[in-house]
Amino acid sequence: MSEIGQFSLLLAFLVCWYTVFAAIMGARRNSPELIASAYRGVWSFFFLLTIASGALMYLLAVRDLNVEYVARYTSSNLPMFYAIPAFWAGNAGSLVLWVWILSGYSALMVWRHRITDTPLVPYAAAVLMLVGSFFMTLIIFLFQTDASMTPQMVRDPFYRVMQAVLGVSGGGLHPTCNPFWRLPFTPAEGLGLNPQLQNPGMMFHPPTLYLGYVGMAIPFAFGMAALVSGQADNQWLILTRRWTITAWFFLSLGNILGGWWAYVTLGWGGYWAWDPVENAAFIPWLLATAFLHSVMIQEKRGMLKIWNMVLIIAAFGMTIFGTYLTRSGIISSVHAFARNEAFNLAFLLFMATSVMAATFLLITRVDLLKSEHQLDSLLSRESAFLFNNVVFVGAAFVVLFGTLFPLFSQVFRGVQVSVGVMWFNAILWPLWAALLILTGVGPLIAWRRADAANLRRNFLYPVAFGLLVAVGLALSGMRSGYALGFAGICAFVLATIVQEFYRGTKARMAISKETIPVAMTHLVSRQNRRYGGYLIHLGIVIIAVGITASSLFQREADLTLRRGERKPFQGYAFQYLSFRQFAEPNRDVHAATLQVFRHDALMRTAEVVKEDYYAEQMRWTKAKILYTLKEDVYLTLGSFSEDGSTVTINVKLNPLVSWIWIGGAVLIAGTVVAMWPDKREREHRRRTALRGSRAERRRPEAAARA
Amino acid sequence: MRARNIKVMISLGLVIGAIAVLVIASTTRSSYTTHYYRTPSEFLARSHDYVNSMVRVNGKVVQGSIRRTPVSAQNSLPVLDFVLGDSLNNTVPVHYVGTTVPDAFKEGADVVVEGIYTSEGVLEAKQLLVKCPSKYEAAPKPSGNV
Repeated sequence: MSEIGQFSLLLAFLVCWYTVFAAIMGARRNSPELIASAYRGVWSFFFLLTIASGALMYLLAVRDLNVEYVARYTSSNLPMFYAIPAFWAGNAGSLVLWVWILSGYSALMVWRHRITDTPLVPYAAAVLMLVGSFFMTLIIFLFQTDASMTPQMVRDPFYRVMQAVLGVSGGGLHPTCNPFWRLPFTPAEGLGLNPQLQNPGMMFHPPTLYLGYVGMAIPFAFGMAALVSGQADNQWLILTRRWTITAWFFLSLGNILGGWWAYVTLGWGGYWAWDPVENAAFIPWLLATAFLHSVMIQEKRGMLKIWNMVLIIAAFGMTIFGTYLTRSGIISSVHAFARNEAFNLAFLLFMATSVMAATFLLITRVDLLKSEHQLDSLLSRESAFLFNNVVFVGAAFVVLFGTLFPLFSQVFRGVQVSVGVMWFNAILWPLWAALLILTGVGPLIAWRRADAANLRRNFLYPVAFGLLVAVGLALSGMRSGYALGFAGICAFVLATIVQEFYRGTKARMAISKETIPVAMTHLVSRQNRRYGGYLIHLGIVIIAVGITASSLFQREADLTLRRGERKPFQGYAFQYLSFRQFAEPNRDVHAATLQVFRHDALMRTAEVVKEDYYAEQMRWTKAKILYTLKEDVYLTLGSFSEDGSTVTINVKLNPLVSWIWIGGAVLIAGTVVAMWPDKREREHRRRTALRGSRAERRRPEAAARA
Repeated sequence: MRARNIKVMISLGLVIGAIAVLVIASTTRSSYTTHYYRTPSEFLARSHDYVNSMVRVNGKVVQGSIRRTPVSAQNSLPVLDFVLGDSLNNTVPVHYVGTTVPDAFKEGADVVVEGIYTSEGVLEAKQLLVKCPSKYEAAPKPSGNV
């Protein structure tokens, strides 16, 4: 099975390069045959990678421990549910997943636009395959010399040849990130999967994030195609709008799932720690969000064209950088390990080359990107969006700077200095406040120039409501300036959104005599981009409320309890009932049972556990969370005496955390609404399809081949 | 037209300037940053610079140095004292009050201590981390050529 995987990878590599050349030649010579052949190349690439991925899944499922990757990330007693996700537990599998997703996106993209008559599509396909070829090169050709092996131990025919050709000395050739590599011996047992990764989140979080990362390659490829082909009008934005939102959807979902995963499994009571790996997922999200907003200005007003190109190059660069950061361990973090110079060098080289090539292309074609309008006023939607962009990009820079600070300080001062959570909070909270205000202002303020009447009409009630909420909370005893500020801002944004829905619904009801629910449904479905956007903003507001409350008002205590003892904390009481120790197939479990009382009424009986994993030789503390909408009771077992007579329980009260996940769900729902194909767009697609088929009729031979 | 554009540019400049000021102000505040040291020896060489500021030092828990004071009438939280050492036999005493001692903390373990270095020469730990042999990737092999 590993041979099938390896062979598919080799074949895919060849197909990948063929496709790059066929697509570029086809587009340059305007040859439909070559273009059609390139498209088939893209589909074959996807097909071959699907076979390779299937082979890897099979090897993991049957625990073929002779395969190094399988032995390293699974063990025979690892449940099947976690054996398959071990696919992306290490470097090699993660890279395969990356290209597999890239090939899937590319295949879908080419399929969707196969009859769109524009050179953008073949050029974009070529760019995507170039990106893919880099990852294929890493997987297949990156190797190191393994001193513990003799050259005779290399059994794979491809690597035997490579070894002979390169004349590797001092050991056997060992590919660095090829998941199909077979060991010269079969270990009795695998190393197993890190307990932190043995969580349902492992099934969904990494692939989701990768779907987001890789998805940004499509708008990037189209942007580059627009520059190469010289067709730098708005077409590339219109063709990629849905792809960008799709990527953004997955990036958002990935970040939310990541926070939820950290909260549920890591046991420290928080959902975000500004860990480099979290930042690696967050920076592309910030840039993608900026891009989603600024393309609207280009679509509507023909402005910010150069800026959009810069943004998409930066966003793509950051997705590659994010992949690199998570995989290389250049900055130590709970996720990232593996130090390998060749791997680092190859990645940095690829990042530098692709960003430099893209920038060079942009500079040579900059005359194609003339702005069609000037900014008319500081108080206008254009400038609100511009500020939104500057703050988003500024935030991305801040997060990047903070993430890389240990590297900078190491180089310049000789000491590794890291910046902590407080650093990020001190800088970013003002930026979040500005962005939240713009969330309320941007969608309502007039295009070109807002006059006093427009401002009064749109913002009088929301501002009044925001002030009312802030003053009300201050009067009811809230003293934190941050909390009052954010509550006021959130109330303001909420009011703008409600006002928009109210006005839209009222207008529909007046014209078409519909009932409220019908009018609202039609409102959203007829203008799904706009109202989906409002729903996303609503989700952001809810998330902001949850983050503000849980960061500012968390309370914590360590309670040491003898068996039967009960201790109060902040209106709750915790009683330690019993202790038990038992064995699961892959771990020992130590569990203490508690009763949690709220205002002297029994709320829940809960069990907090520590687990000792055999194969991994690691102890893991799992959190027990009692969710309520008002606050979560977050319990972990701190320590226990061997006989279970006393335990120490760590209790955290996290206010409004559930609202972060609720807001996340609203945001995701809003994104789905905004992604939904609307009527106008379907119309547009049919027209372009017709045009495409007419073009094919003119070239019957091409049609027959396609 | 031009004049308004300039207004926008100035405002954007102010926003960027404000972000830059925030970054610089936060980075120069010692309580917002943590200095890393790979070994107690490295740290001790410059320790006088770090009295009363956050540092992070890697090292090994010296054999026989762990002293635990359980919860009693005087102290509501358990206290943990130990000595952080390295291969050059330079050591830093560590004092930790609290219950969040990592599961794998023991004599000889590779630990990372994050805390404040006091004028008495004791590292008041805020956080203890144990470096476990990672299961994400095996230990780096002697790297060869590409």
